[in-house]
Amino acid sequence: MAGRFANLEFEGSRQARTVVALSEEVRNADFYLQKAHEARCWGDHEQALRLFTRCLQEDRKVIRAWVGQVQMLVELGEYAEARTWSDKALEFFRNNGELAAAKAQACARIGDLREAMACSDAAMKSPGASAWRWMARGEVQLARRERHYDECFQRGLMETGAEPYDRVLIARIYRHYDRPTNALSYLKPLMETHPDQGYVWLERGQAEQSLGLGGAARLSYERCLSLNPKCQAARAALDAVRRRSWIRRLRGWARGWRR
Amino acid sequence: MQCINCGFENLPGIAECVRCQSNVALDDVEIIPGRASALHLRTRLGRIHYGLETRIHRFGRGILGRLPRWRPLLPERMGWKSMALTLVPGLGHLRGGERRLGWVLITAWMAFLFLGIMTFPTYFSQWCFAGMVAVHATAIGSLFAANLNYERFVIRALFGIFLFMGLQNGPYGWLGLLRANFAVGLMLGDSMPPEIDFKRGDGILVAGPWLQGRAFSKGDLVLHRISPIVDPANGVRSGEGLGLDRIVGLPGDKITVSPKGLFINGVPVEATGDLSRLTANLQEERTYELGESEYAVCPRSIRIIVPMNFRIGSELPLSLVIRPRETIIGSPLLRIWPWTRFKILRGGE
Repeated sequence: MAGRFANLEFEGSRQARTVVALSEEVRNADFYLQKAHEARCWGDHEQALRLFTRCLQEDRKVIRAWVGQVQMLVELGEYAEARTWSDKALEFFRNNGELAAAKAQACARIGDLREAMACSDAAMKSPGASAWRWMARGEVQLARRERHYDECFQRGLMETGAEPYDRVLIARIYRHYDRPTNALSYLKPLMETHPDQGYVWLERGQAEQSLGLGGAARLSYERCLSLNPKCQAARAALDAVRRRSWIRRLRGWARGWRR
Repeated sequence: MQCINCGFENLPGIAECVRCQSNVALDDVEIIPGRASALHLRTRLGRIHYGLETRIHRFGRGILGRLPRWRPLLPERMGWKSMALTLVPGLGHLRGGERRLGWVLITAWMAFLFLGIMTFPTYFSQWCFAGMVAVHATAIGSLFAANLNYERFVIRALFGIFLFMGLQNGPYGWLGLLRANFAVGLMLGDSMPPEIDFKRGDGILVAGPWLQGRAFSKGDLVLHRISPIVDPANGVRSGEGLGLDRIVGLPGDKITVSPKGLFINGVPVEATGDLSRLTANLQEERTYELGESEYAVCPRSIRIIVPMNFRIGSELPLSLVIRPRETIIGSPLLRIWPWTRFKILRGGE
């Protein structure tokens, strides 16, 4: 319709157009990748896996999403499926160090330590470097009960692309192998640099709970919930801590007293 | 079409990258990963399988790890000096800086040598000499098989076994033969009757061919080799072995044994002791003419295999045994075992 009313806009239509525009420009592969990363940080691995898949629907060439899928399968305890999926991804992205490292982690978790070491070696030999490759190597060495696993983790944190979340990842690896004390040592620096990140408190609470320090774990979970009231993992863990038996309470009190 | 893996520009429509063989077209690729069942069966079975495999591997490594490790002694190749010094076990190790092991080897070898000499010629001394060989083989093996790591334990064990056998049959065997030319050690067994001043279990040292200087005399006690004797007429047969008996006749003598007595070159000889058994129950005369290098020995015992002509319990008439000189080893020199009965013997004693 021509004339001076042609460009006349009403309030509601402008808002609707703005919302539609934001949705269209955000919901791409990067968007889903970012969301998946957030979900992973908060320990919502199932949601993270879905988001990585959505990312690949948008763009199948995002290698980080393929790696993320394998990592999430590992976090969900589906080690055999993680290895199978990493093999499939490596068919498309041969000699990719990140995928080889993810496969190494899957093999280490399932117990195939020989294959894990071979994949880790392949990851280190492939072009490029990243913190994730070193962390996977550290996990493989930890699983094989070899020395210098902590040096690998430290080396990974020195890489240029290292993030604060990598410390959380290392802490989770240590917790998986029943070393909560080592996990806490990696989380402590994050308490000072990123105290506003709720997932750090969540991970700390889980490490303290593994150590039997129920009181400290409860405080950590409460702090996490104060930063993110919607964190289901923290809520479930807090309930578990509150429901622990009196024997566990005594044990945790004794440990705390000894410390 | 650019490969997402290596970045190589491929021709359109191609399925695999020409450079890295990665799939170029991903449009039809499945992106939803397969999920585990409710029981996580594949993961559980995989963990059981690989867990067992790892435990068996670690158990095997633990066993092998406890075995003595052949760590490299010296990084460079063994020199001729070290090889020469290993003639005495441990000297090569001392030269190479392995003082502790070197002294242990030397001490063990000398201990075996000392014990072997002190208990010669008992069976224990044989074990001591075998221990010497074993220590020597260990010394050589540890020095020259030092580059083999613990995974090659089987090879090192085989090497040690063959080395031991080689030393036993080689240098140590030759030393034993050399020693036997000077003196022969002997433990007296059950065949020694108590008439002579020897008891069962005594150890004596007999002069070897190189040490037996003088010629034998009548009445000398000599160690000689017994070849199997078959005497169908008397129904006796002796086994093979060694005998410790007295010389009755010398080379060139003519010996006559008859019911009347013993005559050597026509001269009657008083048949006492062992000689009396020559004429006991003798039915007919026997004459022996000895050659240039033949000696007549009066055997004090013959192992009866098939008694045919004699009543049970009767005395056996022994016949003289003719021994060529080369079958006579020598005269006893010393009674060396037990130490409490040590005595220097002089031929006829």
